Amino acid sequence: MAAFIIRRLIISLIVIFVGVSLTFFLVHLIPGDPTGIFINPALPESVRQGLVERYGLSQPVALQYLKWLYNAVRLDFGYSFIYPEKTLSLIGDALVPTLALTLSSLFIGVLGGCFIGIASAMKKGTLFDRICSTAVMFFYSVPSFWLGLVLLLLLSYWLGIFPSSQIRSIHHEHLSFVGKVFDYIIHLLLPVTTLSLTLMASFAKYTRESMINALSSSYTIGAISRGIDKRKIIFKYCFKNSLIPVINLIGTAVPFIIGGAITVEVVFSLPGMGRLIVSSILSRDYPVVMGIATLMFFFVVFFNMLVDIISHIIDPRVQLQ
Amino acid sequence: MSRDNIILEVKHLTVGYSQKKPVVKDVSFLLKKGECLAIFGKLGSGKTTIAMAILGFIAPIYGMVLLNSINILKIRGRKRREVRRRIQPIFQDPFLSLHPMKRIKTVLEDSIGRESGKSVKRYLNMVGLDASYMDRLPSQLSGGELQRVCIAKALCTNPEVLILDEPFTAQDHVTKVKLAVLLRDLKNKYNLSYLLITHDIFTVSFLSDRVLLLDQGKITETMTAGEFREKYIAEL
Amino acid sequence: MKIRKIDNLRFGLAVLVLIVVFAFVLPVFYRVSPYEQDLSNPLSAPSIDHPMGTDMYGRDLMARIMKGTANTLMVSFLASLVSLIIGIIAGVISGFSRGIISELVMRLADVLLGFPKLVMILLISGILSRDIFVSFFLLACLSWMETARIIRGEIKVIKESLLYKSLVAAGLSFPKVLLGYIFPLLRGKFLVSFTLSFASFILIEISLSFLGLGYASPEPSLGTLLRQARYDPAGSYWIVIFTGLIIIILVSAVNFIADGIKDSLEENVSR
Repeated sequence: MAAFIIRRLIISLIVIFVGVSLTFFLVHLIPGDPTGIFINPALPESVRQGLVERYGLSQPVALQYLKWLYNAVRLDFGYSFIYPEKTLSLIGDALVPTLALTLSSLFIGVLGGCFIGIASAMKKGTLFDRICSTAVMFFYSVPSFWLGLVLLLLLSYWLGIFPSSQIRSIHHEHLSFVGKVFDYIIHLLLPVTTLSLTLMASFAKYTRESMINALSSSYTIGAISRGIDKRKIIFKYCFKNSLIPVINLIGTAVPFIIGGAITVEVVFSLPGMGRLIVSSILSRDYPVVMGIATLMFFFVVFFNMLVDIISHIIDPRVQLQ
Repeated sequence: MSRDNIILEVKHLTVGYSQKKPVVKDVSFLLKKGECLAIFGKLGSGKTTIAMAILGFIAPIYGMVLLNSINILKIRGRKRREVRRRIQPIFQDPFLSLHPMKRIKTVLEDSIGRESGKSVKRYLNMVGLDASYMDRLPSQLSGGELQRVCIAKALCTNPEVLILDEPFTAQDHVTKVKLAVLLRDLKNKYNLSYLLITHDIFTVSFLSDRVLLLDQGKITETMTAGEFREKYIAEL
Repeated sequence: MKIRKIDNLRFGLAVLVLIVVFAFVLPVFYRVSPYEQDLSNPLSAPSIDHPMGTDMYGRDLMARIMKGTANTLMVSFLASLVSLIIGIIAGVISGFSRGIISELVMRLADVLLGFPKLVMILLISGILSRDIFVSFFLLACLSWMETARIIRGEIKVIKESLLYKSLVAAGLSFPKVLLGYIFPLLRGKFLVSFTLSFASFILIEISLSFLGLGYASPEPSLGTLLRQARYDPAGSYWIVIFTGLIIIILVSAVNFIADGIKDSLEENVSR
């Protein structure tokens, strides 16, 4: 067990190392002066000199590489070109609305999706199942931001019920605490609904399939014909077995937590990671781009490792594939 | 026994998935040309593993397999493929041994390879099937017919040794007898040598000349077919 | 039940064919330019002149949607093809090799799998090259993992099968075994992989163009049309409706096809 974890850790560290190095080399592939990539050319000379010293940009590439590695591990990604802030704090600020959005959508989406999936699997062939399956197919085939646009048009512009952008109103500061909370919620309602619907569709589809497989498996049929209480079988065996692949699916949905909500955030103008990623790429704010790329990488590798270890604990038969 | 007569020699074959627990332990035997040697044992006694090792699908921990005095386990590359054609397997489930999408004709042609002049029809006739079987798919044939096709496929490479791994276990009794007769006739006509691996008493007593008893990976007894029949059938 | 499943596939295919005709064949008959502006008639409702209305520059919406669908389909199709080919190669290499090579490929796959494709292509597009074909090609090069994993699994199973053993015993050469026997067995899986990545790439292209990094104005794609709608939502009901309609139909059709193939594969197995 311990050996497994250690092995996994070592591999993850190697992978992180490779990834961070790749980010470095990728940026150096861009034609032009690398100094211009890390440091805003618009800054006054004295400030630039200071930064050049700090990030070792006048030194040979090998040393720069090591400096980059060192800084990356300390999460020091330099200063943004566009905003007068450290990259890390920019990312931190942007992370909050994104997490609020994605985590709540994930929660609702997974629960709702599993519920619908299992219910329609058990009622397979009935009207309920057919309606659900059609709805699921619909939400599954539609880009989430289109859904967002539609909701935006309907409920925000046309009916004027919900605010159309941002995460807080202009007069947010003047509200009471409860008012502030309510303000956040009402701004998040549409985007969360949009994302939840899309997620629910994926999870419902997946859960329904695996539940149907479990229900028709020879184990279940055998148990039923032996007279064991149907409910018991369904709860003990089918549920559990159809949930294992769902856990895997959640594992794959996690990188979604940072990056997947991009388009929805753009539709609703939420000041989150999505907008940051897009704007920094469009405006060539390289320190931010590299910082995001590296952080995502850390996160992904770390999370993969975690999922592997948890899977191994739950079911020791799971080996490194 | 003169040396020239021996076509296959297995020496100290030890096969296993871990060093400590070999499934086949220090097995040695000789197969004479034109002879059918049966390896008889319960399920799990290691019979199939011996076959797999001889065919080269499992690397043994220790031991040699000599075909015409050449250690075939050590050969690589193109030569290996040529050597492989001289020892052909017949497996238990003929349906699984054939590609579901390929017609019988194609299967046999692929096996014949470059040696043209010997047509597919000829090999089909050898196993008692007529030319109408050429364009059929495996799903259209019965178990007995499929096993005949597998035998034909094996013959296409002009082998010297056939390794029969439970060849009739999946067949019904009538077919079993017919196939056994076919194999016996083929052996006599083309001077083939058989290594028969099975737990079925009938097959052993009908086809084989000598019998090795295998228990838990080791050879426990050697006897002639006559002695075998006395021991096992007389008791019934 | 059986008939239902085959219907899935046929239905999806029929719809897909209709869309392809709509995108590639119809423009030959409907000779309205998707680029020609008419600023006197922005954002109009459907009429005889403009069956789907016009966008904010007065360009005929139907023509733009036709061209847009064609553009989206092209990029997604090519990317899926590349992704499939690389995936097969990676899967075969990983399936047939033992030890380090095999594990390395899979480790690499795990890491890459963790990245949302949209983020990947944003980074590629933003940093390396704006050209949509280049960025999609690069994305396709990074999307081999799902296919590779499936192929690898199948190959590992096949290697243990009696069929494989018979083939090796018959002394057939490796290329012959791989191409002549193994690939035909995997045909179904290839198709499923291709179809699923096709659906996925379609949605990625739409998202990418929506964000401004894919097809660039004035070239229409299903994504750029929605992008225009975003920046003037109040007047763009028709754009949103019609574009959305095409997207739903297209992606559903592809998904139906994928489901249909999957189901008919399962039928063949349970004989």
